[in-house]
Amino acid sequence: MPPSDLSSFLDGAPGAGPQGRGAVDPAAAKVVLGKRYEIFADQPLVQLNTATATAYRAADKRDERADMFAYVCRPGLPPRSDIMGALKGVETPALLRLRDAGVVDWPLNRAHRAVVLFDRPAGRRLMTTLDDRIEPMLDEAITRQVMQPALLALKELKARRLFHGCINPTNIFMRPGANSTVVFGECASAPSGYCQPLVFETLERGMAMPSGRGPGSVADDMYALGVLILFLALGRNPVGGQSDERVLQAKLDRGSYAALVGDARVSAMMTEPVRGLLLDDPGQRWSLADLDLWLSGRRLSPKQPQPVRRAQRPLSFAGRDYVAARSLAFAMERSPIEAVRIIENGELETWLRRSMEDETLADRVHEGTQSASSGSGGTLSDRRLARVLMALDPTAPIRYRGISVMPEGIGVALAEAVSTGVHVQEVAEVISAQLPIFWISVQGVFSPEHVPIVKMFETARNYLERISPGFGIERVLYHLNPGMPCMGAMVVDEYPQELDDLLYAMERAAERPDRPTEPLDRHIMAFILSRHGGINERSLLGIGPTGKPLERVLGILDILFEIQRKSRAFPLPKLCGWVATMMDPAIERYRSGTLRDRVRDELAKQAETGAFKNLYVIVQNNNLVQRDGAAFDLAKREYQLARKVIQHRQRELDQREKFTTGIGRQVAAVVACLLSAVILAAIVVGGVA
Amino acid sequence: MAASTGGRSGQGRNLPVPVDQIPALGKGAAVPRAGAKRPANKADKAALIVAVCLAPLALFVLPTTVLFFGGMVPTIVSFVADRTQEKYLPMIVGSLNFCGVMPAGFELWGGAATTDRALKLLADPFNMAMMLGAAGLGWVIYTIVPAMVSATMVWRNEQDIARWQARQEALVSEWGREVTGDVEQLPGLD
Repeated sequence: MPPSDLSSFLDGAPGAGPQGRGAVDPAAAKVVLGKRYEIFADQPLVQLNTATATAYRAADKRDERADMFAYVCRPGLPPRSDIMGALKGVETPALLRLRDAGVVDWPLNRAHRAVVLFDRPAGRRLMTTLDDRIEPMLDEAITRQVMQPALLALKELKARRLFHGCINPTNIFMRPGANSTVVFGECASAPSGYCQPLVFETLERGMAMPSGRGPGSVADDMYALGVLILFLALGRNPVGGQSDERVLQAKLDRGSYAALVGDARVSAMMTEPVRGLLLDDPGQRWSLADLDLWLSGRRLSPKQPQPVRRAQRPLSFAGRDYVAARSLAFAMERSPIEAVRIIENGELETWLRRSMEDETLADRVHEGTQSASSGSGGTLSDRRLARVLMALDPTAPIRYRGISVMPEGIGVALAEAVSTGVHVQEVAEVISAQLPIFWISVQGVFSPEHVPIVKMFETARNYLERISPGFGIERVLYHLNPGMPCMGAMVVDEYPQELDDLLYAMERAAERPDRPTEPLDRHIMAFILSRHGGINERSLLGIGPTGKPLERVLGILDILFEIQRKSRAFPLPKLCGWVATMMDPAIERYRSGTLRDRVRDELAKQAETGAFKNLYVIVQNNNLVQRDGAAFDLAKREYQLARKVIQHRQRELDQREKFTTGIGRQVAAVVACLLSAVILAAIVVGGVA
Repeated sequence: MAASTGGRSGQGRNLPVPVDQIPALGKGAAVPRAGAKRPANKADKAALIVAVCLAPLALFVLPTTVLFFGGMVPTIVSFVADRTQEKYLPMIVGSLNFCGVMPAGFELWGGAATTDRALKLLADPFNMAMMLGAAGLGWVIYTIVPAMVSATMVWRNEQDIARWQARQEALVSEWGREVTGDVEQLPGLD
């Protein structure tokens, strides 16, 4: 049996069926996860809350001294279930230890929620908000209390190919004591980079919306560490009071170091790591090895950022002059009408060739302009603008009609869009316009990591083009988010992540009086197909918009039978009973009323076994259908024979005098002859005697 | 329903009664109209020849001829009265009338078989009563038995119709209106 929740996935324990998930303890407002950890819903820890999760006290049944807490994750945003297994193995004092994760029936919401359990941090946050002002930390303290633990934590994460993505002072805890070190907070309860303030993100990731940043790398964590050092050295937010857009613009115009440090005074000792860590070119940025060397006392030669190519003459756009392609692309995103104008009238391309003198870039822009017509979705000008922006700034995210996503962040962006109902169409158009594939094509260097991304988005586009149930945007959602629970309206509160979870959730939904007319909606179908691709194509066509009622119910039964066989979720009597009540079109195939009643009774009886196989065997009995058809033909013949016999008898009755004149007189003649023979014989015998 | 049949088309195995075995359904039972003139045929000619040949014999046994001719007057009357082709009435009356004459015949043949004696026997009231009574019995049979047979046949047909109608209702109940085949007629049953 596949794991029913993250807990069993982590533990490698088998799923425990419908009651196997974290269950509510009726004795108190607490839930139990994995039969070991208790989470107390009546003991919130507000000070540990994050933007996407609320914290509650937790306890370990096996270890009473363990001081733990649990994050109850916000629905609609998938936690980073892909890294939890690896994160559970990280045991370093510099990082909040993840104990377990799973799905529980959360009493406060009366719905299932993903929870992640951590050891409770002993100290307080370095900052409660980024606008806090704290006492500037001394260089030595930053080095010993922050940078050394950070190096330790990041090394551990790198060894497991993990990206933290949430290194900022509001997610770092300082242990009590004068010489204590910091503990880096959690990074698993929300999608990668979702909770990271923009100032801590690199320029490229910062341009993406929080849900579209995608999985990052250690280099991104190193950048965040550089910003963190700057925060602690200054004791405040160096760009406090500035809007995110202004910060981004400043980073674009002057580079991150200059934009963030500005006029602030940073000690000579700290300048070197801050400058190295804030380099915008990830290839130039300090690595863990560089940081390790610096912490060991070796001083590195300061790295200078690569100069940005500038045009000889500026391009006037939206009231401002631009000399760099990247800044121009950033401005064009914000003034799309003006941007489309300079693209379509050729002004941009001319400027790139003549003023920028960058033929490669100009060719790339030209290709983006021309290739926009190959995709579908949205308007041509929107697609063209998106491609031109990618050509101008290849490392920036895909920017399309107000959304901004990295290719690998499209999945989470879509998950958030589906849960909030905002920007779903735009995300779908990004995929159907093949923008992720163009993004990869404009990257300067080929990376093997891009190959699966191309394949993933080709598949997603194919799914998007099919409108039948099981495909469309819902299928793309589960294709791009393998850990995404099923969002079907009927089961969304049950947080089903695997097929058996889904079936048990549907079993419970079947009991509700407000259940829908059919058990399979588009989300559930897409979820099923994404988890189990071996569904018969005929069944899929049957439940499609063109399917007839009979094909539809047979398709539903076929699919449920198949996934029950696959998931081994058994028994499901309520769900079977629900499906059995839908089988009228299948029962109507039988002509015999007696047979229909028997089949209906048998379906109801077999539904109680909770096995779709038993329903399937009854309904899909082609031999019985054929025999019923043959018997029906015989019945029709018999009916017509009866009709003829009745007509004939009626005709005879209408001419009943013929009975008298015909057979009646014949009988009378026979009677008379027989009587005569008897009398004659008697006379002869009497005469002789 | 379960009775088997060797139906015309060989497909009606479940039909209760084979189509061609239903009484008077398969074979035509046309009855000629009463009083219709019939053309002379070979049988009539043969009867005429037999009558001509028997005429000398009748003269040879004249007393017997007188006795039987006189005694079977009711038969002659019935023969004349019955205008049907089948002549059931003279057949019925004649057979019993003959039985009524036979005792007088035995009495004639038991003594001197003269014409006078034959006339005396004819005039005997007892013999007369026997001859006419036997003929009358024939008339009674001819009147009552066909009526009884007709009543029986009507009853049987009505029972048959009721039984088949019940079967039709059962079929509709079991298979629905489609089984009536009003939309689609199956071939081979006309």
